[in-house]
Amino acid sequence: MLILRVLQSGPIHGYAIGQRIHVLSSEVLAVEEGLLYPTLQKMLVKGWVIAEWGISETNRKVRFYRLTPEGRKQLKAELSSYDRVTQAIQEILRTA
Amino acid sequence: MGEFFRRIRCLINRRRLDAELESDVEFHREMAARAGRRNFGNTLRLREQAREAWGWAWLDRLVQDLHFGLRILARSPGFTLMAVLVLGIGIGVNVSAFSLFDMVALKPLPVRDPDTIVRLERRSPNSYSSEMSYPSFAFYRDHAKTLSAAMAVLGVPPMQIDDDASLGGQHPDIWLPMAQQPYFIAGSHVLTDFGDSSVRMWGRLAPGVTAKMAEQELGALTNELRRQHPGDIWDGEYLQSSTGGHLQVMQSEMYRVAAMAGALTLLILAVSCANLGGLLLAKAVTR
Repeated sequence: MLILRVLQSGPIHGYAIGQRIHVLSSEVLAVEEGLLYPTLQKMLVKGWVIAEWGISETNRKVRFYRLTPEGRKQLKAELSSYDRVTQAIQEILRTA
Repeated sequence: MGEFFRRIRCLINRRRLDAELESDVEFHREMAARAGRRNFGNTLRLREQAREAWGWAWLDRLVQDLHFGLRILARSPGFTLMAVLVLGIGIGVNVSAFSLFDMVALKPLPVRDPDTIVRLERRSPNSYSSEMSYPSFAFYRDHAKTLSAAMAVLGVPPMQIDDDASLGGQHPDIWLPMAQQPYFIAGSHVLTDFGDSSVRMWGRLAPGVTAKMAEQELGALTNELRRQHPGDIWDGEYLQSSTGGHLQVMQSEMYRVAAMAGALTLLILAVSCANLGGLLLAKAVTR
């Protein structure tokens, strides 16, 4: 879900996905490479993202991942289910 | 659906995809090194994990296993030969036994409505013959109303001609209509002698008639025949019908025999498997 959300703001390459999640979470979350790339591959297979060649900020040919309409749909679904769960947890924490 | 095709594409383009993945990982490592992190871990392992997502890892492993197996077999040709022989014989015996059974008993003959064809054989409490005399056949043919057609055959039924195997691979040089027999063989009584059981009889059931009804009518005709020719018809004789639309007429006892033969051939397969298991065990022990 986080990867999808990061991709929503535009195509970006694999390393940057990890970096952005790390930075945006105020360095609380770190995405393991061992998780990031398998997940990206799975998303490619599911058709949620596509990969295109581009030039990185270090002038190197790299692949940029971009969200597809299907990926957007998936993101929306995951966000809403995440909202439901967090709300439920909040509810319990407040009232119990 | 879309995912399925993407998976197939992954399989076809896996070399390219792997190169792309490698580039990704390589780039990541470069960037991480630039940021001062060195402990990136095993890139090969990482790529392997990522490839699992394509869903073809099992295929890779299968191919690897097959390669391994082939190498092992190539290294011990004697063992390979034995294994192939044992399995080949076991499977071959089974296939031939069951295809033979299928040919003679299961596959209907290539004629119209094979279901309505019955084979008719003489039976009595203490006698059995699959052949009857031609004049008896003619009597049945002329008087039976439950049969729309009847056929008598001396030798091999003509409906089997198209099948070389039934003649032992030989084609007879000449086919004679049975009714011409006396012209070709001097002194032949086949057509007139009630005591000369030499033809086999098939009949086609008239529309709407069951084999049981035909048997009843033919039984009455047998009694009539016995009255006319007391010496040639057995006591208690009747005609037994069996489904005749197959090459071989299967009696219930023959099904038992066939089942036994089937069980035997299956046992042969089991034994050959056991042999192979023994061979493998011996090989493992010597190793």
